[in-house]
Amino acid sequence: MVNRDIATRIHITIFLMLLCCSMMAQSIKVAVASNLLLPMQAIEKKFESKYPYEVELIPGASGTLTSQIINGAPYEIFVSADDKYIDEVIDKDKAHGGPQIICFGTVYLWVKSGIAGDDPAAILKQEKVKSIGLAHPDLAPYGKLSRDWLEVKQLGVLVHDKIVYGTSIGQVNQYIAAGSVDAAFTSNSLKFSQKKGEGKFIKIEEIWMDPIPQTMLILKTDGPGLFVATLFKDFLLGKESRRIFQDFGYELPVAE
Amino acid sequence: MEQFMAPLWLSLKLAVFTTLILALVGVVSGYVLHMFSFRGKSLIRAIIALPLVLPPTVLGYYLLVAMQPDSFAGGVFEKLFGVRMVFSFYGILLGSIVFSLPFMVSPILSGLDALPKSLREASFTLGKTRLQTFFKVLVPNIKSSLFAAFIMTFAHTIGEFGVVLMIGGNIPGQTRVASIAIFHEMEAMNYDVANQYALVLLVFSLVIIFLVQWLQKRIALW
Amino acid sequence: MVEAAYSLDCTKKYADRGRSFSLEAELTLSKGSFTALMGPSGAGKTTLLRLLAGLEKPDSGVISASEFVWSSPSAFVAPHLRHIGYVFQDYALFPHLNVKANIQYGFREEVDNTWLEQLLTVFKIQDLINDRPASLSGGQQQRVALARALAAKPALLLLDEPMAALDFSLRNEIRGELKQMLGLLNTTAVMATHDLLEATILADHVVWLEDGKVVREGAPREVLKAELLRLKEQTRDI
Repeated sequence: MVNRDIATRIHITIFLMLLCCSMMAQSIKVAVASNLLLPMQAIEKKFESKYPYEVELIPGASGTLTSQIINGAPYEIFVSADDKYIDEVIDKDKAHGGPQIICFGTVYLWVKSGIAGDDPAAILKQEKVKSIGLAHPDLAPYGKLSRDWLEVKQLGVLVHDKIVYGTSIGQVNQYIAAGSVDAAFTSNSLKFSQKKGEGKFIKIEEIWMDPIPQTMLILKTDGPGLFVATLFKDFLLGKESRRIFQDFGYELPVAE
Repeated sequence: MEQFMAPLWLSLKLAVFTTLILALVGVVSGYVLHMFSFRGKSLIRAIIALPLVLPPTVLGYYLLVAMQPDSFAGGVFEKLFGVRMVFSFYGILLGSIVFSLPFMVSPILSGLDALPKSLREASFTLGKTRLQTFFKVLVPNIKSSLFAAFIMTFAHTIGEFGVVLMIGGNIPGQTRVASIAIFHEMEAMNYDVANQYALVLLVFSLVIIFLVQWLQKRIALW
Repeated sequence: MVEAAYSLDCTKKYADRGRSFSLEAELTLSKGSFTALMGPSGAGKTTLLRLLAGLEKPDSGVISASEFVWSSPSAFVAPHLRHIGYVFQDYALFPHLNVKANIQYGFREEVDNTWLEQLLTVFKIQDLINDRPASLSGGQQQRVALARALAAKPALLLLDEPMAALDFSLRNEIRGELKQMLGLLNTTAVMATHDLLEATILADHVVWLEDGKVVREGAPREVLKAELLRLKEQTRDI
């Protein structure tokens, strides 16, 4: 009699656990490099209106997200702004399938309103520009590319003391929003978003500068999220998403 | 609204569980450390106080290493309970318990140490065991320390950030507590939402301070 | 020779006001006797009481109660098992309990209400039963502490300078009450005191300690006489 009670209880527990699991399958977690958050939010909305599944975006610096993934964070998809992190995740055997480039990003220089000029190098040389936001080159590819540009322009020494490092493009965007810097190297997505605020954006473009590939990877997870993850991956590569990335100033890979 | 409230409820849940579990840990360790003398006691006291001076990132780092699914502790836990410690509620619960340990244990221990030694000795000579003495004489006389310990642990857990971020990340419904939500909304450039969370936590902290002051006055009158 | 109820022959290092001493004492207490421990501060009076209570363990030697060994290198009976009463210098009343609950705490098993009433009456604290210790005068606290220590009808009562904080007339009154209760219970008592008069009135045996050693013992009059003589000679030398 007692045994039967326990058996019933165990069955109910298992049932509830399965129910939980099946409910959890309705949503996936996508770790996304900060610079992509704005277009990804737009894509998330589109996806959720089309399918009965939920997408949770977890923004962060690509490096931070990578270390979380390696330490067992339960994300289904990783969208990185830096290929080296994608390689690391694959090396650590956390990937399910291969990487796929979804778009390319460009560096923009944001300048506070009230500071004149069109040439980025000339602007940064001005006395008025006292602090320059930059995503840390070791952590963010936008930062690395921006620093390379500064070196090529031989501005490195000149602006060295003015640089304020952020851990990601997201943090640099916070400096911009708070007005705590006079200029900052950010990504195209801020320029094309509704949250760009005041100031002007100048594209940093040189022949030697390659656009920054934004790469997606499906991750190995214990949960039953693979189906939704695949669905979302296809959606990210689809027409609607491509248009959104384009709207935010990203360049697209040649369609297959 | 529901989405806005979720991190606040999660913070509350984390703080309630942390405080309840630590209350038990605090009373038991108060009993052991105050009523018995043994070797290594000052070492244990030092270890309990360690999170007070340890940078949260150091604690977070070691907890993360210890709780990884590939590590011994993390693996055993996952096999036993079928849940992963890192980046889950259980992980940040364990993190909070470790991190807030001194906020619970220290006030209890100093409350016990401040009581005249003769109280417990009188109880012994009146035929009561250590356990009876502890619960019937000592605990009732450190009520204000106990209240302070509970409230400080609770408030400290609500305000915790570094350890949660390191071992829990930012996962909605699991580890995105109110303090992380501020960080998240900043990252997502939703400054007005971040502002609201910050305001809620500010008001909460003020209320806690007033509560502590009020309780201290009340308990002094007992 | 009367039957020895308690005997102590042990050594114990102790500190008093920053100075360290070494107690080396031999003591025998006969059943129902009242012993006064006397001597200058730091002589080891309190340490002796604490050794008897089991609040301290001797460094070497044996303490026993008739045929039972209380403390020895291989055995130790915890204080709560010794069936004793102890009146602390600071009374050590429990602040969170009222007078009645403080005394009830001393009962080992069930509260014997007749005995409780008797204690309240003899120590004249019937009207205070609902008061907390903090609101009592020194003399009242002293009476409650005595009543609590006697609640379990202990076989051995240890008193550490119980009257030190009280004025003269109050001491006299409480002494009478204490003597009455001890006679009733046939309890063996040991009291540390500075008060010569008190020792003469209450005790039937005085032990004079100095620097942790028993220098003199015997009937109160003789010990005190010897001590007075010694003091006189010392004064003459000066």
